[in-house]
This record gives sequence, structure tokens and C-alpha cells, in this order.
Amino acid sequence: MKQSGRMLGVLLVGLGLLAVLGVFLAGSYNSFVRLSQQVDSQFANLEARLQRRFDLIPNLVETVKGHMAHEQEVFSNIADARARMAGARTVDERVAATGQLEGALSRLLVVMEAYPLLKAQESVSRLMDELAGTENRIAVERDNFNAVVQQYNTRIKSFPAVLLARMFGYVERAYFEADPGAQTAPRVTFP
Amino acid sequence: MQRLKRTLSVTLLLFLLLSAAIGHAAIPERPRELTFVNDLAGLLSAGEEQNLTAVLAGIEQATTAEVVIVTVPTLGRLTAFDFAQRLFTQWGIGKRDQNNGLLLLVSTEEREFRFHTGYGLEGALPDGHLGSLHRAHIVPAFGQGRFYDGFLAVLLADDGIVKRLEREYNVTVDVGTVTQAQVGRQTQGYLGGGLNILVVLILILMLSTRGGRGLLWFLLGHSIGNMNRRGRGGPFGGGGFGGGFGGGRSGGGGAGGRW
Repeated sequence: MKQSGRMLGVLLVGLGLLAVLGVFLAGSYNSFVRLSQQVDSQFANLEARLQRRFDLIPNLVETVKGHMAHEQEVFSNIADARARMAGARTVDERVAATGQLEGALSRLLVVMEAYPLLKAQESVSRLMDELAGTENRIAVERDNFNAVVQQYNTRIKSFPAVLLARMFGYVERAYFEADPGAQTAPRVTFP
Repeated sequence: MQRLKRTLSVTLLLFLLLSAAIGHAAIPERPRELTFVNDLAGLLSAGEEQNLTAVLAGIEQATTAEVVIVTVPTLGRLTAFDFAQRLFTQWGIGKRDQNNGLLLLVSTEEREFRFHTGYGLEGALPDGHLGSLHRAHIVPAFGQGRFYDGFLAVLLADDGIVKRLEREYNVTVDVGTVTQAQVGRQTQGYLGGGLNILVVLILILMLSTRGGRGLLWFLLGHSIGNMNRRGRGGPFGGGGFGGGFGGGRSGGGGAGGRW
């Protein structure tokens, strides 16, 4: 009699422990899902901003091209960079293409400084405002993105969650960093 | 032993208070109530402030959009964009579910003006248009020291802020409907000073009793843990809960420049 009573006790404790473990595992897994979704969602925001910059550039080019007839090199650089951007498939390609585009745009803005009459035109000023705006927005969304990636990476790398994460294929995500080979991002300021 | 403990508590507390003060030195504290005009640089007279508040309050009543003016003496080491983005995030300008906030930031030392839009107003107030308003109205007026005129102009001009928001929300903003009772007053500074004295008094009281000291140690540990999160706000934190501003966020949109 005493024997079976003790066995029952052990069984109950064992079940209790399993239940606790189950709750922990579910909670952990759900946090992976939630944080991973957050990263994806924020990446979509960032992509939208990058796309807007990509779309704005032809406007700027068309507006100023007529006044800068002898700066063909600058415009062909931009065209090349945009083509490369459109053709980029992998993440590395995209990062490199983004860097090249930023560099070409930066070059254009520098060259524009030599044409003071350009800035006096309201249409050009508005475009510069829009470009500066997209650069700022990209900076904000990039920071937001890196912040949620940090949250996610910290979660899946901490013990003991790390054991579970790998089992379900939750791997570390990359931060969005500027291509180190590119020139600095365009700085658009008005004196 | 008691004496040592007491000295340690006081030193630690003073250190924490000092660090907190330094951390907040750059960005002004969020006012407790929804104050539309925060003239920390002293550019407006009382009457001008009242009139501007009436207009901005009228906008908020008709559209729920929170348009806020903040003037500061200096940006410190921050750019106008960084300063505006941080202030916007810390104060939580605009309604939380609509992110319809607009900040007009003026810094007298650097002669910088900036419009800073919440996510929800990026469509109604595009960067190019705000830049035009800046060039057309702010630059000439501020250049002559006519700050009130400049603000009124960007708000009430033909394609200015009020008109744009009216179109966006399909309403009419009545800048004259606000009664005296609804006009927010700038009480932040005075209240801040009074609170500090109160806090110091409470601290002295707590330190003199045994239970108080125990509570103090607990609070210290808790606030050290929270220290790093303050003043930064992250992407999803720092919204204006607990008072006045709606808690809206900004994605960095807007325009501006020097005058």
C-alpha cells in the first residue's frame, strides 16, 4: 500500500514538472514568434523608405539635368547605381547597391553646389526637401530596425531559450549596416 | 555601521539625481498638460502666446491633430533633426492611434527652424510643402525678429497648416471658439521647482527612519535597473502616457532650415 502511494506521489510531481516545462517552452517559443514578426514588420517599413528614395531620384535628375548639361558623368553614375539596385537579389547585393546609390546621389548633390541658381528654384528646393526627408526617415527606420533585431537576437541567444530556438530554426538576424565601402550618406542642408 | 549606511544612501541618491538631471539637460521635460506653445526661448509675449494657443487648440478640437510649438535657446550638440525627433518621441505628440502630431521647433542660438511630422500627417504635410512654407514665411519674418508673425503666417496662410489639415480631415477649424478655460498655461517650470523641494523633503524624512531607509534601498535598486531606458525612448517606448499629449510617434518626416 505504501509503495503505490509513493509511486503516485512521484508520478504527480513528475507530471507537475512536465506541465511547468511545457508552459515555459510555449512561452519561449511564442516570444520567438512575436519578436521575429516585429523584425519582419520593421524591415518592411525600412524597405518602404528605401524604395521611396529610389523612386525620388529620377525626379531630381530630370529637374536639374537641363541646367547641368556638362555633368554627364554624374548622371550616368546615378543611372548605373539605380540599375544595379533594381537588379540586386541577395541581401549582400542589396546592401552593396544601396551603398553605391548613396554614393552617386551624394556626388550629384556636391556637384549641384556649383550651380547656385539651381537652389533658387522652388521646384529644386522642394525636391531637396523631399530627399532630405527620405534620408532622415531611413535613418529613423534603420535605428528602429536595429533595435528590434537586438531584442530578437538577445532573446534567442540567451540561455536556456537558445536550445529551443535552434530546434525550431530561429537564427540570428543581421543588423542593417551601411556598406563600409560606400561614401557617407548624402547630407542635404541649406545654408 | 548605521552611520556608514546612511552616508552611502545619501551619496548614492545624490549621484542618481545628478545623473538623471544631466541626462535630461538637452531635451525639455514634457509638460503635464497638453501645452500647445512652449516658449522656452522667450520669443513671444503673453498675448501672442495666447493667440497662438487659441489657434492650435482650435486645430486640436476640430481635427484631434496636436500641433505644438517649442522654442529653445539652443540645440546643444544635437542637430535640429535629432533634437526634434527625440523631443517628439519623448513628449508623444499626436494621438496614439493616429500619430497626427506636428512639431514646430525653433532654436535661437543656431537660428534653426524645423517642422517635424508624425507618421499620420506625412501625407497631408509633405516635406516639400513644409519646406516651401519655411522659405516663404519663416525665413523672412524670423530674419526680422518677427517670430509671432512667422508662426501665424505658416499656420493661417492660404496653403498653410490650418488649410491643409482642414482638407485632410474634411472639417473647418474655428480659431475663435476656444474659451479662456481651455487655453493651456505654461506651468511646467514652476511646478518642476516645487516638486524638487518636495522630493528632497521626503528623502530627508525617509532617511531618518529605519523603515524608510529599507524602502529607499529597494527604490534605488529598482531605479538603477531602469536607468538606461530613460531619455532614449527606443522605437516603441517613451510615448506620452499619463497626461496631456496623445503618445503619437514620428518617423522623422518634415523640413526646415536656418533663417
